[in-house]
Amino acid sequence: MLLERKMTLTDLAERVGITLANLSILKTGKARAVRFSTLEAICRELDCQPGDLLSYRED
Amino acid sequence: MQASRLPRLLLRLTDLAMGLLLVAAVLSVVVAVVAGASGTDAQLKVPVEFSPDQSTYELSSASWGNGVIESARGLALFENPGPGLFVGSAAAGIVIFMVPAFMVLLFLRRIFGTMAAGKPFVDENIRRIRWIGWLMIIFGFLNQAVRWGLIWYVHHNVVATGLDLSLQIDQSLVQPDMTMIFLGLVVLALAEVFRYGAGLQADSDLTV
Repeated sequence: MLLERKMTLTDLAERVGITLANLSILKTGKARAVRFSTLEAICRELDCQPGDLLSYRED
Repeated sequence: MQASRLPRLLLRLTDLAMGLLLVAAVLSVVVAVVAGASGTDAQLKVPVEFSPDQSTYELSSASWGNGVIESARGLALFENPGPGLFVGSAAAGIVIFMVPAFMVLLFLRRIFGTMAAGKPFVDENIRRIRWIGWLMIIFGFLNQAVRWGLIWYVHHNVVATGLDLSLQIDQSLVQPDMTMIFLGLVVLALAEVFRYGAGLQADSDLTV
């Protein structure tokens, strides 16, 4: 999704207003929870829906 | 969250206590060696309990009738203890009392360090607090074990003519140090609180 929008993780982190480390936690699936404000900001910057970002995967 | 000044102060105080403990350990060894080597000037006082010879005295009371002294407590003074006994006592004191105290201070120092850094709820602190709790509980029992050991040593190494050096021990001497054991249990409970806190901290850290 980032590639399609020609955006780097650093760019997204700056636009969303979270640290690169936190964005990395989110990207690697290590996050235990996501704030609605964060989800909203990511969806706004990537112009997508939450469902495009979240998926269920059995461990 | 900004860390308060208290952990830094506690950190300094712990450093001071560890330094004093090290000095005390070194001094106790030096004193033991000097006292052992100095010969006649050295004295050793050991608390003993004994049964006096009941044929050499009489106890009577108009209201209570005749009586005997079953046991008496006293302080045995030895003028020429061997140097090994002094060094041995110092070594036992260091191993039994100072090493656990130093370990507790070391754990406390590390805990205060994490508090000063603003991150007290970490898994390492749970382990450290548990160690402190168990050391306190063990120390509460060990205190009595040392007294038993001393009494056993006196009973097997001191010959007393006319007295029966007794192994009957006053109850106050054989009870474990309940205050220390109780505090150890409280510290173990605190470790569980920290375990819960560490879980919440991890949740917070991994919430994006």
